[in-house]
Amino acid sequence: MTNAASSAPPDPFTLLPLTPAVFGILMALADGEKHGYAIMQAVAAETAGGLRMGPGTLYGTLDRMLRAALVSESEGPGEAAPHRERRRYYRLTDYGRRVLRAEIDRLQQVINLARRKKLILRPQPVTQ
Amino acid sequence: MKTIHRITRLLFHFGLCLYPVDFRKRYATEITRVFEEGLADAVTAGLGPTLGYGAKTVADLCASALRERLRCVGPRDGLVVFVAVICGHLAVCIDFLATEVQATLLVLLLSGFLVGTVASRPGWRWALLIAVWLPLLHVALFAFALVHSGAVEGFSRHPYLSRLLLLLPALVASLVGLYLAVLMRFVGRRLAGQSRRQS
Repeated sequence: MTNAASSAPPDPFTLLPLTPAVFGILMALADGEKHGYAIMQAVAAETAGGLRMGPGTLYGTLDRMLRAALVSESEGPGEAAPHRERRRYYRLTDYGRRVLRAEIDRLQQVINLARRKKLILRPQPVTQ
Repeated sequence: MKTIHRITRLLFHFGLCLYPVDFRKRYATEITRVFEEGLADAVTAGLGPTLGYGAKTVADLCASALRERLRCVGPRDGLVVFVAVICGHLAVCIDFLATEVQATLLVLLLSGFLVGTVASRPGWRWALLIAVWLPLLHVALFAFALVHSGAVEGFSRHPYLSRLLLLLPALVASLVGLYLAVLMRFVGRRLAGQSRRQS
């Protein structure tokens, strides 16, 4: 990922394929802004526990995503308790959403190819 | 439970020191907060989850700190890392071939000096990078030889862990060489400064 803060962001396709951590964070933030622990919980829940990031990996990945302008820091809801320092919230940028869509399209193509080769016998039911 | 809680927190706070300074300044508060929230959830779930969470988090911290450190390595530092690793391996080769320990110490001393002429601060980490291969490769090659000879049970009987103590003389030799070079650089700069002022 390159530093995109000072210039126009690169073509989303140049960032593909995304790492599981980046993809998981982008998916978690697609619902709206979240703080670090909420992102960790959302990623673990959405992958059914398949991807559990530690705090170090989470913030290392977020740092790279901030530099690549995939996410940005936001104010968050104004519920901060007075005795605690304000949390950092993160939200998806427009560019981040484009990159996420490009990755989903790429994965969709892989799924279509697998279907054509009869590696996937029937569509899997979506479970919540 | 309180003791485990305390030990986990202590290890975690020690682990935070492994990050590069910039990263630590920017994210240490947030990382600590996320860790504390996760730990509180794990503690309510019981002893097993607390131990699991503590072990996973500390391992993640070490791995991510290494990743962040590698991200900060510039081309010059990369070259120094390469030279230090090669020198460390060379010292191990000499140690296996030579009959006297002085030869290994001389290689470590010269390696430290070579790296010290170009290395950035702090110098001790480069000395450690040179010295660490001697005990590591001793233990690794010993284990490899035992596995291939089929005498794995000998591994538990042999005092192989004492080989890890080789780190101490290796580190001393490479530190002496490295700081000798640093001293020479310092004196050289001072002399160059003096001659410029005189001219």
